[in-house]
Amino acid sequence: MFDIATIAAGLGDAITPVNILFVILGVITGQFVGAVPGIGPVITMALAIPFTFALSPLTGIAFLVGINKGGLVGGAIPAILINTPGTPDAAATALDGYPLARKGKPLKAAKMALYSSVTGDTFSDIVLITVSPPLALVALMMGPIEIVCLLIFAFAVIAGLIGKSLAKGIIAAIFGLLCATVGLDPEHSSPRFIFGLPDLFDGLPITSVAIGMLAASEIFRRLAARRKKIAAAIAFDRNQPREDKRVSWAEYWGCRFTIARGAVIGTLLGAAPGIGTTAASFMSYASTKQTSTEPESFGKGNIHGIAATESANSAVMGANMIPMLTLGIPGSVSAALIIGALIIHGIQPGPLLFEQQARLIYGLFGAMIMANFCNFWIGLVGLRLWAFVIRAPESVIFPSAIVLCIAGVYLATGTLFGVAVLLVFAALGYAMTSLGFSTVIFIIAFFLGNRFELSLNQSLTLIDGDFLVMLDHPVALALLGLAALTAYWLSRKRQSANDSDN
Amino acid sequence: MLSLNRLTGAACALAGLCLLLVVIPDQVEAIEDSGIQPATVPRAIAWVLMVAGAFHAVFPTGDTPFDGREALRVVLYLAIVGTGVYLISEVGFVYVAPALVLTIMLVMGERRRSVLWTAALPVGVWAILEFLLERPLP
Repeated sequence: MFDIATIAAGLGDAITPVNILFVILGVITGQFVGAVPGIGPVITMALAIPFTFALSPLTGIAFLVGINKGGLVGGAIPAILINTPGTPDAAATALDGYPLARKGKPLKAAKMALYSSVTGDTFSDIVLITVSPPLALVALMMGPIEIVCLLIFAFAVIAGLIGKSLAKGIIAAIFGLLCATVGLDPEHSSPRFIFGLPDLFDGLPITSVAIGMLAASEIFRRLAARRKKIAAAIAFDRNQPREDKRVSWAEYWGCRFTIARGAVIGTLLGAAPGIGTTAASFMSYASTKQTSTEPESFGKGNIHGIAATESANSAVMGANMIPMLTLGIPGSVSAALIIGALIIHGIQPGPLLFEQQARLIYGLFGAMIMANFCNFWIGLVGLRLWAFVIRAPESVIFPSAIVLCIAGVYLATGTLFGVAVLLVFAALGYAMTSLGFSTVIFIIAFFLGNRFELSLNQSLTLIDGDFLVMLDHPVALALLGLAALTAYWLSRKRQSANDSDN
Repeated sequence: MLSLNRLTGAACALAGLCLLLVVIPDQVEAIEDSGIQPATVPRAIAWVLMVAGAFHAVFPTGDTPFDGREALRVVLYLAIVGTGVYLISEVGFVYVAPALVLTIMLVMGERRRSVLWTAALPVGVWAILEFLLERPLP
């Protein structure tokens, strides 16, 4: 344990004019690059690491943390305003954010995203600061068997997104899993479904698939929808009532359970390395829809949908630092980059970090909290600037959004092959929605498929035919039990919905 | 639109069968002395696809908001953008992207000169990425 003096000194180190300046600079950079599809905070952090050489360790790390946190908010802005997620994490935010913006309430949607993002992020930071060592031990218990059971639980929760047709939901999920199998198989690294294309060895690029399915397909749909007169991309009434431009305290408070659930899901998934922010946001979205009294309003601009996804994906960021700071295991690419920066500055992350560098770690915690405040205030200013952009006619917005998608996917994948994949999945996304298949279920299955197959293969090797081994994995059994309960509850809910329809 | 539902169900079942009989044997290698084959998961996927597709063909449910005319226009826009992407690979982003934006604007029916000049916006995107962020575009 550390004395209060060390904690106070660490927090005091964080609050210096230079640190505040670099946190602000990082947040502004992060929000900007997060809003440009394909660049994202990870690439920017990688580019920024060399610049931190010239800074003190705390200032450098605070700058990187600022970029990362800014990117979380920045990614949601174009997802809501032009249905083009700046980062794959924000894909789920577009599901309700964009419909709400189209209803003429883009500022309300974006502000809800900002508030829930900052709340979820702050929650996970508090968890990181207070209970990271015990949580890291739990995270360390997450072996392949537990990961498989966790993903089975995630699939059970996400099954709640299946609409009226169970068969269509299963087909959408199966297509997603099929696309996830493209590339080298996780067990033997032998190529599957390559069709002679070397670019497919690494699998289908996630950015291309996510942006193509969710954003580009919708842009093409709106381009093709025949209109007599070209209007603004989003109807903006100049005399709009104030309540349509802001999120009232009552609305924010009404989302408290949604935000709390999202923050807990994000924190738990973030503490387990490798699950990722996208899974957290979709899982939070699915569980919020299931527990809602008006599930039919989701996908049509329900403010709870935005709160659920943004609180979850932002909570992952702080939680990713738990295994990083306590065990030296990065929970994500951005956490790995921060580890890299720490090592560059001569600091070795791991179990001894809290003993050897306690003051620096508490300084980092101070910088993280400071970055949350900056994210909030800079986000509020940034939203007003973005609101000007979407007042432009759709003949400007949609072609520009397509070019942004092309540039972003090229930057993320490094080849025009990624752009070709984007177009293929835009067409597939359009076909699927036109035929009543859920693109969201497809995307979730695609995101989780690879990880699921890898962990399943590892688990089957560990179990080696003796399923009694499972008794040595209480966490896995608990997760399986939760998955069974969720599936039972969902089937009862579906049954009662069918009964009431008849 | 139940017939379209039946059709998509049958197409999915057929795709599953095709996957099982043609694509997987051709595109997935078999590994000797291995309990879990690379084809295990794809085969399971193909079976589920076949069964779910057949089920959907026989007991179709759910809406199909398909609009043939709209789909044709989507194909047109996809062709325009696809051609643009090909030309970007041949000529370069900075030259082709503004022309691509302008083409889409004109196809949408935009004729106002005060709006058409915004087709030059991709040059700004290119400049930011190329010079500010040092991330080259093709």
